[in-house]
Amino acid sequence: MMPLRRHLGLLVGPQEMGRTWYFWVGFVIVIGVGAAAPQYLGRFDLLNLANFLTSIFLALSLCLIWGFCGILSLGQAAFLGLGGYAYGVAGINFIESHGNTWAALGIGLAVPVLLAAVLGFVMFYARLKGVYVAILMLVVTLLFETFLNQTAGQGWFIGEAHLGGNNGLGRFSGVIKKPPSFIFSEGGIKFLGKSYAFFYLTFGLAVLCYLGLRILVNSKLGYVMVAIREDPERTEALGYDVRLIQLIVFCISALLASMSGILYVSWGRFITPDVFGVYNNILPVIWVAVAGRKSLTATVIGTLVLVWLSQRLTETDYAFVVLGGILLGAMMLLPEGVITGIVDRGTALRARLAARKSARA
Amino acid sequence: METISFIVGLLYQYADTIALLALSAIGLIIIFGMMGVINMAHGEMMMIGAYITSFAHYAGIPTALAVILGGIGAGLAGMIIERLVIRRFYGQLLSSLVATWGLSLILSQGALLVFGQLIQSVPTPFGSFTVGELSYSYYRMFIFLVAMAMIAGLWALFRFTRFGVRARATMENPRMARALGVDTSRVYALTFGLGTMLGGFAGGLLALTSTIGPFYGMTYTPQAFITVVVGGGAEIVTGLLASVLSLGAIKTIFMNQTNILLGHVAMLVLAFVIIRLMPSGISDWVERRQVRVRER
Amino acid sequence: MSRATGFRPSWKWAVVPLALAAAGLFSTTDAAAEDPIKICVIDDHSGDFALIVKPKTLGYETAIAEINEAGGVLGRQLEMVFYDGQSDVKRHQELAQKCILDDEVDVIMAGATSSAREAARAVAVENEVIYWHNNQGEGGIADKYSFFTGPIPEQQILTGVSYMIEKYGPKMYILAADYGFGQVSALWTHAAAGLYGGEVVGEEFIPLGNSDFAATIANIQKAKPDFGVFYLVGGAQYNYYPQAAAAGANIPAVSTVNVQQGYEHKRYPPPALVDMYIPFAFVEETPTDSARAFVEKARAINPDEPYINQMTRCAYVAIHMMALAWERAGTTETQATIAALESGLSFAAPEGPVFLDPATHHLTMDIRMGRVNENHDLEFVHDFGAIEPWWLRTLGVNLVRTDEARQFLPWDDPRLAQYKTE
Repeated sequence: MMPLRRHLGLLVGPQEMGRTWYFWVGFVIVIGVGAAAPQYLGRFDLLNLANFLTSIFLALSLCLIWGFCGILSLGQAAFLGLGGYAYGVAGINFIESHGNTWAALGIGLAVPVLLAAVLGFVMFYARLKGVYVAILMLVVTLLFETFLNQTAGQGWFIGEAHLGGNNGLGRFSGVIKKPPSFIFSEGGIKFLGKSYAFFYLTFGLAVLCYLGLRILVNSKLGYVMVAIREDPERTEALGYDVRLIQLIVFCISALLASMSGILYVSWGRFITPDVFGVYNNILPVIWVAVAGRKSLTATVIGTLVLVWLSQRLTETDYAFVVLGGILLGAMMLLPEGVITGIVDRGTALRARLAARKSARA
Repeated sequence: METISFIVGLLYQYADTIALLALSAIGLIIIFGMMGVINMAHGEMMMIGAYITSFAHYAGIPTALAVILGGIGAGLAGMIIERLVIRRFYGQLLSSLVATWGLSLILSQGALLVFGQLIQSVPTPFGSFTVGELSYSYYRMFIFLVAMAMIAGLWALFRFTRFGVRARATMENPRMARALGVDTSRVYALTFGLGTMLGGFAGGLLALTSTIGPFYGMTYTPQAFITVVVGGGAEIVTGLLASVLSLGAIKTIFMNQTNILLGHVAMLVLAFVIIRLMPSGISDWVERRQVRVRER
Repeated sequence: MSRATGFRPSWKWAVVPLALAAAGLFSTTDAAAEDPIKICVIDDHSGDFALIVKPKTLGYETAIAEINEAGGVLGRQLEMVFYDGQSDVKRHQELAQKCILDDEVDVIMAGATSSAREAARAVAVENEVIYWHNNQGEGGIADKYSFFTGPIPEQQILTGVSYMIEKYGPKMYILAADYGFGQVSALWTHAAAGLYGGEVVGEEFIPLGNSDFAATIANIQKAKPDFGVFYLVGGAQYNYYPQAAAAGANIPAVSTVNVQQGYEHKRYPPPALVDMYIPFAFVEETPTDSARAFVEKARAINPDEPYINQMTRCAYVAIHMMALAWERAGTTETQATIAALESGLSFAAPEGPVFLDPATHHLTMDIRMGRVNENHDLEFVHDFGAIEPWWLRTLGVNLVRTDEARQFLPWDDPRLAQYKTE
């Protein structure tokens, strides 16, 4: 049992905010409130909340490589999109005819990770730095967008799945074959994509990923990641293979992003090349930058708030202005992120007050 | 005759592609190379230049002057933005990228809300000429020449003027430059203003031959970035030239021989390869080779 | 203790999901008889398509104001529930769900591009809510819950191309945006060429967002067509026109998307669009008294709208059709309303009478041919008269009897596909 306890200990390591007992009390309350959502939310709100939750994985993936490992990717949605498309194509071929969700899931996760491994090998072993990785990833995602946008013609079938160009996967052939939702029918329990079960699946996965990443960033790998972020040369000098670690973290982040894509496709049975576009690649950068890229907790909260906000703003014409304003304001006033910024300031203030009190005493 | 007409056609397309790449990237590469700032709102500077050009043209101002006004307007806007925003992000590549993206959203949607969707295009001057069976636009060749002149002018500016020397000194080592009495903050403000002015000027030039709207700049932004990054920031002029010549060549050949899609794809693939082989851009690679040769 | 490095109180974190949940709770409402009839509208007011789609919203507003002034429908007022689709396909899907599940609207009118349309329409059909698509499209959709006010290929492409062959000669060059709409329109153009003795001498699919046309202009010149057939979509692709004009490479052309939506003849100085031919149902300059009255009415509601386009008219017609159907059904219940819509409704649209075909859910409408002249004014050169949406019927579609719930594509119809030879 020793290793388990050690791992649990890593949950409250110093790389992530939330090391006090009241944080965890709050955490448990949030889980409770979240888990009870089907009790008090209407059908739409629950569906919508599940949709919001699918964004968390993408945000966490960017938080991990950018916030903790110092690699900004402007093409993180490429993994989301590729995961979604791969799952969708496999799903159309396997789920509806054979009911094999596992195969589709496996393919949906494997394809983006493979791409990440190849790209990561090419980029990190060339010792590409900061902005070049960011732009290369933008190039990659634009390539996917350009390619998939022109697949509306009748030649673009993969098995039974028609790529469908700009209309979206499986949506532009005579007989429409949309990408399917998950169907697990093991043990007689049928699991359908749009039920409560989907909400719980996404919610559970989000919590697990959050906790898992907490452990990861506080593990030895996590410390090396942060060291690379702060100073890659020195880390190298200490004998770590910086390239390999960057590659591993990049693959993990691709895995997380592809989860977003798969869940999104299963949720809406819908994916278009737009997911690879510039807008959808900058969106996670906004979430993570505004919330606080060096904190998983801040990223999760910030993402939920911002996704919710940008949906609310669709009732006006001002969505882009407000979002842009938030982004600009946050970067100028609290460059480390709004949530981490406020928390840090709060901590500093309290420390100062405590110091004054003890000085008086 | 057929071959001549084919070669002329290819050269025209090459010049045209180079002009578009160079014009959209020239302001950006100055700011990137000199200040280590990525200005995602560069497309919006082009948009401002194009809007001013259109408004000025329809207010009866001669077109040439209207384009220059567009450049000046964008330059002033750039100086204001530098003072208010960019100042905080010197050398912080990634933060500047995120912050200016916010700015870009505000400016483009703001333009839509303020000026509406209807922006009148400006007529293209100069007419056309014919070689063999194909006819071409004089103006598109004119903007190619202007783009080349801008690059040459930039080279002269950095080479021969006091500002150029100070700017290069600031870029090499800001602290040392400051110690030697260079007002680096002024240099930064002027550099940023110069970059946005060139962007606005390019926007005005292109406005005479394209659609103008609030999202006008965004059409150019991704390829401008790729051009800049392929060029690298070490030596602005050689980097930009090498980048537009190589990217333009591959795009033109593929577009001419296959189709537009493969033209775009080929350009992106080449960009990927160049960045992979020369991780800090062409100019940095060239510079390091030169150093190596000199050391030998 | 190493507390100082850690982070302190955390009950605050619970506030966020609570607030989220609370915000969701506020929006639940109960429907009573006196409540307004809710019409969900999702139009792009930001992003790339705002330019052509904004006038559509004005069409809804005009019709709703008109009907409400006259006492509403079934004694209830009409209310528009508006969302900005942000030119984002994913957004259309989310918002359509919000409209149905949260706002509990009675009908959805959403999506301009074929991709946005399919995103929203799928949600509506799945939840058995009536859906309207209100601009021209590639046609072929046969679905119980879906209705269309825009002209379709048999109304625009066959007419337009046959006119051009007669006037300019048989050789044509197709330039189409590379997505569903462009692919389908291109195939219809091949069919039109085959049917009326034309010949396609070149065909190019342009990636969405492409703005550089030097190679394309050269290709067109080499092929020496008598006229062009253009399906260019989105702000970037419009760049073709000024670039071709600057190169002196303008050719007479016919287009089903330009001018009637994006009013390019008003936005570009001549000669960029001279000799552009437009088969249309409605443009601001439509030469009928009712069209002029309609333009005036719409301008009274929003004087700043630069151009009243075909989308404005489509939106306006859709609201009136729904009002007629609800009145005839005596209820807003979905199945009864569909039955009323399928009972043979007609309406005096701004350009002339339209008839909602029960079998296909598309409109029979008057189609006219406009030409952009040297001063960039629209002249009217031909009146094709009323044209029925006949293609789906010839495939045996009769939605009154059977719900097909699918889209028919022209390459699945051998009568049309035979003309595409390669």
